[in-house]
Order: sequence, then C-alpha cells, then structure tokens
Amino acid sequence: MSESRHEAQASTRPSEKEGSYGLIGRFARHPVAPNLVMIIMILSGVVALLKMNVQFFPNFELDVATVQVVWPGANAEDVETSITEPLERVLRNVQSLDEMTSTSSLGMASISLKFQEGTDMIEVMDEVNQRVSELRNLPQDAEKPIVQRVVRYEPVARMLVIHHGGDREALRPWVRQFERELLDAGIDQINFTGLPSEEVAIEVSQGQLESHEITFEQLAERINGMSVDMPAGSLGDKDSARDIRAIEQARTPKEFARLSWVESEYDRVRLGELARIERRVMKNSPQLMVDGAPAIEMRLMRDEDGDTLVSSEVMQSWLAQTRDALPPQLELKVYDETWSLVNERIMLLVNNGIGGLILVVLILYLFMHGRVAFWVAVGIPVSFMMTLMVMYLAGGSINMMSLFALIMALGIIVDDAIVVGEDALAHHERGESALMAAEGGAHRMLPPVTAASITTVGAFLPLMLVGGEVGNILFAIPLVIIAVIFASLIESFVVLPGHLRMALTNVKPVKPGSVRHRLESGFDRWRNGPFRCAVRWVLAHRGIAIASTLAMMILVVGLLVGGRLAFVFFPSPESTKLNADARFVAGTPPEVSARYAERLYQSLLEAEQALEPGIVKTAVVHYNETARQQGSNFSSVNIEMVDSDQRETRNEDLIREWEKRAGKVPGLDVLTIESPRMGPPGSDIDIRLWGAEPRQLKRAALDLQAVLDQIKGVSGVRDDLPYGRDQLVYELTPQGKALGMTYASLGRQLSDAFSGRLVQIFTDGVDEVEVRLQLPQAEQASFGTLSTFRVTTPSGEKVPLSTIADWRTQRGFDVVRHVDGRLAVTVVGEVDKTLNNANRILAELEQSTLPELTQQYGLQYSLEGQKAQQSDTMGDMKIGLVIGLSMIYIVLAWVFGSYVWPLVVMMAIPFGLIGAITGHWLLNIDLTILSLFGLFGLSGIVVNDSIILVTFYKQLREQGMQVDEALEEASVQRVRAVLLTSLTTIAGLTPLLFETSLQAQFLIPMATSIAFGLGFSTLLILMVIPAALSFYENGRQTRADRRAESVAV
Amino acid sequence: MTGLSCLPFKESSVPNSLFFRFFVRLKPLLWPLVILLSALVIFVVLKQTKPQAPSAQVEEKVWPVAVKPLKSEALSPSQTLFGRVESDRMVSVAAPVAGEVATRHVLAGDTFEQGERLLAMSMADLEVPLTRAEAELADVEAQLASQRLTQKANEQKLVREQKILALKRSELARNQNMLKRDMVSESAVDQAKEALARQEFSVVTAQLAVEEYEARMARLQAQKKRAEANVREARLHWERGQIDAPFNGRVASADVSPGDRVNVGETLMRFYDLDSLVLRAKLPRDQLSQLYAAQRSGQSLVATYEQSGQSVTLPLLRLDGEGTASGVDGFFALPEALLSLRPGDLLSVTLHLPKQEGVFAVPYSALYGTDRVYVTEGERLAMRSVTLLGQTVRSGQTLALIAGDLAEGDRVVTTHLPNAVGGLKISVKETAQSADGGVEGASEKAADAGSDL
Repeated sequence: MSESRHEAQASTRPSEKEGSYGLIGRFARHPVAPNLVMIIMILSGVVALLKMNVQFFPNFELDVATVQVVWPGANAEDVETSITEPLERVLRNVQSLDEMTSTSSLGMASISLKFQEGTDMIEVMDEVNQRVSELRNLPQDAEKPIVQRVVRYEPVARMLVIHHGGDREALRPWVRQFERELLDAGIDQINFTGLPSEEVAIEVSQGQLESHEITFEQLAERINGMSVDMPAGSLGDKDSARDIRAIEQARTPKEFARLSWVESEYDRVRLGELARIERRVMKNSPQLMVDGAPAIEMRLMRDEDGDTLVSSEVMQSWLAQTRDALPPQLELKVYDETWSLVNERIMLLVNNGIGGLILVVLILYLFMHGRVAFWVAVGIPVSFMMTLMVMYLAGGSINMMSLFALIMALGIIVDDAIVVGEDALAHHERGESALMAAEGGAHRMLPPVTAASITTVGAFLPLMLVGGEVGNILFAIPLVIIAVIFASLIESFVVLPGHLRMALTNVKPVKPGSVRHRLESGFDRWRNGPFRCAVRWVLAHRGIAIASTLAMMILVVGLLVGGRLAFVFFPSPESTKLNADARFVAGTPPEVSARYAERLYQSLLEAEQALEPGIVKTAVVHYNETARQQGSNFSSVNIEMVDSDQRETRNEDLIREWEKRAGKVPGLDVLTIESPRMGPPGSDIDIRLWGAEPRQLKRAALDLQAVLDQIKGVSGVRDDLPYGRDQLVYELTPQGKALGMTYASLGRQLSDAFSGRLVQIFTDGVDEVEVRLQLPQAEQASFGTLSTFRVTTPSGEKVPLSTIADWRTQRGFDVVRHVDGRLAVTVVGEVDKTLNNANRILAELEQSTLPELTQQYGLQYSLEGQKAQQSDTMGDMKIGLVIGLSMIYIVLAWVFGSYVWPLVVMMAIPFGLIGAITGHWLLNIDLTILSLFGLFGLSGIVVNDSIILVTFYKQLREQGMQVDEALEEASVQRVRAVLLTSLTTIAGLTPLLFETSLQAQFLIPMATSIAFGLGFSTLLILMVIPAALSFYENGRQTRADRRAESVAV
Repeated sequence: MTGLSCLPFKESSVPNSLFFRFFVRLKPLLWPLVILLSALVIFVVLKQTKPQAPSAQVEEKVWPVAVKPLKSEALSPSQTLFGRVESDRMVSVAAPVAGEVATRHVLAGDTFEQGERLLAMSMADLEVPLTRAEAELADVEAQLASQRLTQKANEQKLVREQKILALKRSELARNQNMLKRDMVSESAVDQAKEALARQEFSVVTAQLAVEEYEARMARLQAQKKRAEANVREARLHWERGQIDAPFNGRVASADVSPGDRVNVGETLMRFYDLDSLVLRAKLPRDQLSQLYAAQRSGQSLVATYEQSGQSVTLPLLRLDGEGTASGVDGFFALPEALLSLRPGDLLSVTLHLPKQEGVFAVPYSALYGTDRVYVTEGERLAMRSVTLLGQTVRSGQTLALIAGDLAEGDRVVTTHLPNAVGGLKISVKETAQSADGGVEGASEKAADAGSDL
C-alpha cells in the first residue's frame, strides 16, 4: 500500500530491520506455537461454553434480606407503630443499604432490605441480625423476628396440572407426586399456585351449641383431649423397656366425627352429631381454572446459577415419561417455557451473528488478499473462544446481552488483525520475506493498535461503573467488548504473525486482469478520483464544511429538543404474557371477584375472536389472587400468547380490546392489564408520594391516577394503598359489664365464632392441616349472624350479643407501606411506547399535576421505577463519560505527544453523535439506554479512525509536505484502512439492524447507534477532520510565521 | 499524485478595490453563516413545533357502584330469638299414702285425654286408712247415743231423788212435830236429819250428772267431727290414689312403676296440659322499649318459626314479671303445629317487632356504621343519616331496615365502598330492578359462581 507510511514507521523503529526475537518474534518463527496457542484458545472457549449458563438476561437482581414479625391479631396501623417503625429505626443505617421497604398488614410486619450490588451479604446479614436482636421494645405477644436472606430462583417453566373431570381435590396427590419426581430429577425448586392449604372445618351451628349447652372453648378442649398422639413415657426398664403412647390423632372428617365423650350419665355425644365436619381448602384461598377445569400450577425453578437448558431437558424427559402414564382426565400443560424463549432469542442472535460474520468476511475479501483475509477471518472465532473463557472467568453467562456484545464485537475483533495483516501484506509485496513482513508488521503495528485498543477500552470501561439492576444487566456489554479487545490483541500479535508467515509465503503478486486486480485498481481509481476531489473541495471550502457539520449538530440537537426523538429508558422485548389483575374494594365477597374473573376470561375470548383468533395459547383464571396479592377482593387472568413474531396483534391492541370488553362492575377498584416486564424492575411511571397523612396521600394518589388515566397510552394505573375494610369496633355496654364480660372474653368468643378457633394442627404428608372449630360457613358469611349471636357470660348464661356490646365502624388501611421508613403510596402505570413516552409524560406531570398535588395535600413526591433507574444510570454514565473521555484524551495525548491534537481527533466523537441520532430518526425508533451505550462504544471506535488518519498526516508533515496537501494525501491514503475497519464493524451489525423479529427490537437502538454513527463519522473523519486540522495547522503556521517575522524584525 | 481532472488548488487573484477585498475576506464566511443560520432557524422551528402532550386536568376517580331504588314499606323489624318451651301447667303427682303402686297406665311422653286413668295405688293401701277413719267415726257416734241415754236416766234419777228429798223433808218435819209432841225420840229426829242431808247430796249429785251432759255432748260432737274429717281425708286419699287425667295432656315423666312402694309425698309422675305450652325467650334489651310501648298500646306481637318451609306464628303472650341485666323473658304461645314440642325444647324463632311505616329494606352492604347510607345525587354520593331499626329476612337474605332522611325512589348505593364520603364521584353500573327481585337474582348468581370454586 503506502510506502511512505512504512518508511515513516521504520524510521521510528530502527530495530525492525533485523526483526525481533521478542515474544512476537518467537511466536512468528516457531513452527507450531501459533497453532498451539490457537488450539488452547479454542479449547478454553469450548470449556467455557460447556460451563457457562444459558439464560435470558444476566443475573441482575440485587441482594435482598427480609425481616418478618408476626403479631397475631394486630391490625395494620398497630403493627406499623409498634413493630415496623422501631425495626425501621434500627435498620435504616445498616451499611450498603440501597432501599428499605416495609409492609405492615394484619398481624404481620414485613421489612425488605435491598442492598447495593457487591455487598458482602454474610457480613450484612450478621449486622441485620444483631440489630434486630438488640431491639427490646417490641410488643410482648409479638413473635420472634425472622431475618432471612432471599434466595432467588429463576423460572424454567410453568406446568399446569388440569383435571378435566372437575375434581379439584383429586389433583392434590398427583401434584405432590409430580413435585417429588421433578425434584428428584433435578429441578431445584417448585412453587405452587392454586394449591391452598387445607383445614378440617368443624362447623357447629349456634343452635347446636345452645342445645348442648356447650361453648367453643369446651368443645375445643374435648377435641384436643380426644384427638391426640400422646407419648406417655416408657416403663419396664428392668425387663425390656416399652414405650407407652396413644395414637389417636384424628386426620379425616370421619375420624373426627367419631370422637365422642360422655355428657351426662346416659348422654354420650359424638362430635359428628353436633358438627358438620369437612376437610376443605381455607376460606378465600387462591384457586385456578383452565378452560373451565380446575388446575394447579407448578412453577419449576432453577437456582440463579443453574442452567436453563439443563433444567428444561430434565423437565422434558420427565414429561415424556409421565404423560403416557396419566389417567385420561388428567392433563399436563406446560407454558411460559423460559427455556424455549431463551433458546429462540439466543438462536436469533446467533443467526444474526453468523450473518454478520459472513458479511465481515466478504468485506475482508473485497479489500484484502484472499489468504491474508482468510487468516484474518480465522482470528474472529479464535478470539471469540478466548473471549468466552474470559467471560466465564468473570462470572458471565450466555444471554441476550453478552451475545449482542459479541455481535457488536464482530467488527471490532478483526480491526487489529486487519491492520497487522494489511501492513504485513504491504511489506511482503514490497519484497520482504514472509517472516520479516509478518513479524515486522506485528511489531510496527503494536503501538498504534494498542493505543486504539486502549481508547476503545477507555470508552467501554466506564460503562462498568453503571450501578443498579440496569448496570448489572448491561455489565455484559463492556465486559465482552473488553475481553474481545484483549483476545484480539493476543490473537493479532501472538497467533496471527505465525499464520501470516505461512500465508505470505504462498502469496503471489496480483495478476493483471484477475478479479483481485480489477477490484484493487477500481478502488484506486475511486480513491484518487472522486474521493480526492471531494477532499480537495472540502479543504478549499473548509468553512462551509465545518459550518455544515455544526449545522448538522444543531439540527440533531433540534430533533432532540423538538421532541422528534423520544427517550425510552429500557424498552423490554414484547412479552408473550399478559396479566389482567382486578382489584375490588376491600371487603368484596369472593363471589363477586370470581364472577368478574369469569367475565374477564369471556371477554378475553371475545377480544381474541375479534382481533386474531388463535393467538391465546393458555389462559389461567386465578380466583382470590393476583400476581401480587391474595384475598377475596382480588382475581386475575394470566394468559400466554403465541410468540409475538407469529401474530399480527400487538399486546397493546389486545390490552385495549380486552379492557374495553371487560368493562367495569360495581365495586371494581382497578383493573390493570399489563405484560410482565423483563429486564430491570420498575414501572414506566412510578411516582411515590409521601410526607402527608395516609388519607391525604391516598386522595392525592387517586387524583394522580385519574390524571394518568386520561393520558393516552398509559395503562395499568394503580396504587399500592387500597382502602381497608370497615372495622367493626365493639364496646361493652353497661349490661355487658354487669354480666361480667370483658373485652378479651368477648373478643375470644367472637373470634371463635367468626374466624374459627384453631384447635390443633396435624401434618398429613407434606401438608400441614389446621383443625378449626367454627360456625357454619353460611352463618359466618352473613352480617345478620351478628344480631342472632349469643354470648356466654361467665355465669354460663346465653345473652344476645346486642345486649353485651355496642358497635361502631371505623375505617383504616389493610396494609400500610413504608419506603425508607416513611409512609408512602406509590402510583404506577405502564406506557404504550407506540402511543406515548414515559419521560414526556413524567415531564408534563412535573410541570402541572405534581406541583398542584404538592400544594393541595402538602406532600412530597419522587419519581421511582424506570425513571429512578434512568436517573441513577444517567448519573453513573455522566461520570463514566468524563472518565472515558479523559482516558481517551490521555491515550491520544500520549500517542500524539501533543495537548491540542487529541482534541481535534476527538472532534470525531460528536460527529458520531450526529450519525447515531439521525439513524434513530430515520429508522423511527426511540433512543434508549442501549443507544447511549452504543454512543459510548462509538466514541471509542470512531477515535480509532481518527488516530489512523492523524498519525499518517503527522508522518506526511514530518516528510515536509504542505499542510493542505498532507491532509489531502492522508485522507486519500488512509481511506482504505478507515473504510475497512468501519465497514467490518458496520457489517457485523447490519443483519441485526434489519432484523424484523420484535424480540430483537430492543437491541436495534444500540446497533443503530454504532452502525449509523460509525458510518457517518467515517465520512466526516475523512472530510471534516482534515478541514478542522487545516484550520488549526494553518492558524498555527500563521502564528509561527508571525512570530518568526517578529523575531526577524 | 496521479493527475486527475480535479479542482486545482485555488489561485486567488486579489482585486484591488477595498470594498471588493473586504467582500472577498467576507465571502468565505458567507456560506458558512448562511448554513449555520438556516440550521438555527430550523432548530427554532423544530423546538417551537414540539408535539405537545394534551395536558391532563386533575380529575376525580369515578367509582363504579351498584344501586337500589328505595321503596318505602311498612315493615316490621325482625329479631332472631332462642327460647325454650315451657309449660305453665306442669302437674307433679305425689303419693297420697304410703303404699304400693298398683297400676300405671301411661308412660313418659304419652298423651292422654281428660278423665283417663293414669295411675293407681293399691286399693288395699288406700282403703285401710278409710276404714280406720270410718270406724273411729262410728265409735264416736255410738258414744253420743249412749250419752243421750245416760242423760235420760240421770234426769229421771234427779226427779226421783228430788221426790225422795221432799219425802225426807216431810219426814223430818213430822218427826220434829212429833218430837215437839215428843212423839218420837231425838234420835229419830237426827235420823231424819241425816237422811235428809244424804238425800240432798244425792240430789246434787244427780243434778251434776244432768248438768254435765252438755259438755260431754260437745266433746263427743267434736270427736265426731274429727272422725268425720278423717274419713273424708281417707276417702280423698283413696280417690287420689287413682290418678285420672284432669285435662288433655302429656306425661312428662313417670317416676314409679307398679309394685313400687312409695312413701307419702313421693312423686309418682309429672304431666302437663298440652294447651299450656309456651316458649320462653330472652328478649334483647335494646328492643325492650319498643316491646313495652307495643304492650301499652295493646298491640299484639308475634314471632314466627320456619318449619319445613311453612311459617307458623307464635303470638307474644306476656313479658316476664322481672327482668335481668341480660333482658326480659317473653312468653309466646305455641300454635297447634308446634304442640309436639316438649318443655325444654330449644327453638329459634323470629320475633317481629311492631310494624313501622316508611321503612326501607336495604342490604347490609349499603349501611355504613349503623347510622349512614349513601344515595346517589347526580353523579355523586350524598350521605343520609338513618336509624337502623332492625333487620328482616327476605328470601334468605338478611336486609337491614332503616328509616330516616330518605325518600321513596332514592337510589341507595349497595356497593360497600370503604372510602365512601359525601361528594364522591360514582358511576352506576348496576341497578337492582325491584325492591327485592334484583338483589335476589344477583345473590343467586353469586352463589352459582361461588359454587364453581
């Protein structure tokens, strides 16, 4: 290629003529060492591949510990003041605490502590334990606090066990059997939904109690006395010892019914006579229906470190065995198979990667000699293998992020090899021996390539600073890129020279008329023809060039400021799942919420018919629960649809249609239909209100929700502070007091009657079963029972409740939530990205609604969820930007030996911005955090091109060329290297850029940033950097001339 | 450098004119300036035409609710009572005499007709005391008769004695005369005197015997009366020893068996009048004032009992004479249909308090606390103070009866909103059709849905 460059470099490295016996030389000369190293690299990659986890996203969750305290019977507000607040006071300054949230509910306080990443959990858990145990002023009857570290499991799949005969109870033994088998087979954890705990309900009506003149208390005593397994010690030590015991624990309703005792001389009472005994699921417990048949859901999980694919294989083989042996009424339906999703996505990326690879290799062939191109291309898989090992050692996994980073690296990985290969080739063409050319090329290129690599690392390294969940997810990208760069450095300087030596020995000069000759001469013609003219024109009209570039910058900023390009923090790929959660006002009977669940299901079927029949694969109706909460006032429908690429209907359309058809019913508080989010947790809109009284907060939250409801594209709006049920507060009347009743004794009788009296708990297999004495369900369910209920006074008299007690009602909250020790209510919502933009909405809210609420209710607010993640991440990235730019500057200043030149070179960075943003605008996609990551990477890569150009210009100048002439020449001479490195990078990403699969859409912004940014900046570097340099150099020269003049004068 | 058709480096020929030179100096700046300016203009335009999100106003949340149009009715609040059946004519029969139970015709739980023989003591045990008493009477009567005869004899003896006295007296006189005439000796006179004195004593004695008669007779009469009473008693015992039903009734318990020897006063059996069965139930204190008022005004109250789908009526007879802290007992008559109940039976009945005009029946879910309901006023809630009068059961559903600041046709919100407050914005999603029909339908549907679970 260019002689002059070689000479320039040769002059800087005088020792090269004889070659070196350094590391590079040793490997270049050794007959087998390069191949051995290559084999080692490949083997290490294979090992890493076998060892590494395959999963969807990297492990990004932060460590969480929980503290739970049970205080039986206390209401939420008492729990809040007596337990939660003292605990929060001692826990709030535990080290490395990121966020502390608490939930005080009926009889239970639960505090969740989220720690920053990288926290030593063992140490922190010790501290938490110690602080909790130091706390002395908890209520007397509160149970001991339980401190736990949350062990996280990742889902593998969900399996529905459906009984088409409608017999829910028949499912239980099957499910338990399946659980055992699956756990034995190697599934790490199985959770159940719709497998509620059971109780033995002993229902005694008031009439029976009256006629047997017995109270619940006496009855409980009798049952406890009769149904018991009682060890009674041992005897006969001298003979042969025997244990004495009774085995009379009743376990079935029949056995309980048979319990009897003598009431009077001739009155033997069997429990079965006065009670209806039934073993049944607990009141208001969650249950599932699939296609109108009862079902139980088994959620198969793996450890965070377990391999999704291995777990799924375990499940598949188990399924294959089990399915055949099932009775006809039983069906196993697997859905939400994370593994298939992971598989699909990963194959998608692998395919794109292969496409990119082919393009890269093609481009290499286009610009380089075939043999050299081949060995340069060989470097790609070899470096990748090495990269995998580095990833494995750094604790990475194979996931969407790391794969994407690998694709991105496709283009970068060959850059080093290209430069080395091209240089060696050029020297070989000039007649150097193969060995000399190969070894010399490596030696010559070591400093610039290292510098370029360090700038790229410098651009990516700060991205590792990004904290939080987002940082954890995206950590894979800088990790992979940095690993790739090091791998490619090793490959280029250890393996490649040896290969080049072999390749170059067989390289013959290009024959005229061959394809290669035509290609090269064609390129030369273009370079010296149109391209040179363009550069010359630019140098002549450098003002226009610079102004146009500035103008483009202004326009790009205009696009941003003018709201033409929206910023979406972390768009997650469209989910195949949708959850419709209905929350009714507190106290709604289960029948009402169940009816609405049916209605939701029906309207789903209608909506599906109306939009696109056949897209819903599985629909599971949940009674008495949503994904987040349980209770009679909740119900939900969870669906799984066919993969988003196999359907026309978008989730948003279905949500809208479904919501419309489901409609509202009396007592419905909120209906939210949303798809579960993958990636960093947090809703698009997540506004936390605090600093006021709970009622005020709730009112403000309602106002805010009403506002959000009106905004286009916002769905799933809800808050987390539902109004509680009415509380009936009893007060003893004077008569009641006169009869000797106390609040405790009355309360005891009331709770026995209405909540049931826990008589005993026995275990049946793995299940714990409670035995509860209570009024018949019908009596419990009716408010009227209160007026017929008769209380037993201490003297044994039965007295109407209304005589004993007066009632009033009070309102409160069922659940009180704190964040960082403050009472807070959070309003959340999701934004349909096709219709609106969360950042825009939040900005608008901060303009108008939120200040209004602040003023009206005297509260404070903060933006949480994605927005908080966004600002945290942005903050980290700003720091990263400064660090990255500084690193690049330092490297460049070192390389150029100048303070100003790096600045000129770094002008390329904003040029990249123009391309990247215009690219987004042209493709009509939103900017995302990944775009920003792309921009970071871009700045590192772009600078590389500048380095190539400027270094060469410097050499030309040193040879005494005029400024403008040198600039023109530099552009023309280096256009090939610049184009080649840029084009390989772009080519690697091109297949992804045109990927239509919706699943890859969230990666496209980053690809866009890099591909467009690099493309545009390559153009600008070749044109505008010379113009800028021309200004600077001419200015400097003029100053120098003047100085010379003045000195002369 | 390969020679190519390309722009040569600019060879600027510098004109002389000052203006032109100035222009030439500016010229390179012209285009850049134009470009920058136009970029700025576009920038400003872009910024100005920024798509504006329509600003949303703070609006209230609208709560979907179900309502029920109110219908004013005359209804009586009802109250479930638990009571025990009692009889106010429980007869406990005791043994009249010590003796043996001869026959027992009925057993516990048997019903009997008036006049039916229930149980008899042994005849022998009953007759012995009677015979003994009769004998005693006869004895007294005999004594009376003999007393009368003695009297007759005594009276005659007195007459005779008096006659003898007169003779003695004349004899003395004669002797004295004769003494005077000394016809006789002094001793003869003394003899005559002595005889006279003796005779006088005999007369006194005879007179006493006659005079004692009254007293003796009186005593005997008394003895006779006593004897007669004993006879009557014995006869009564005799009768009572054979127990005949005094009314239509039922045997509560038969405590002895034929052949049992019983002591006097030992309980033989207990039975009660079928017409005397009442239900005694404790009336809760908070309804007493209404009950007292109803009683004063002579209003009759009833309780009802559901029996195999039929409702039977139990009129309130009276209230107990004394009350306790826990309330006052009320007594309800048992109707024909419930006569098979036994005393001690437990019964749960529904007491219907006096009917009240202008009462509204609403589901309990409409009631907040005990004194508030919410009605719709346009699109908002309006609070109404009410008094809870009680409850009533209508086709299985317990409804609260309220009265107060309500008018017929007002639509009361039946969805229980935990945050209900006057002025809350609502939208009506469901209207119960009639006063009871709609609610009923809804609850049935709810039950269906529930049973699926």
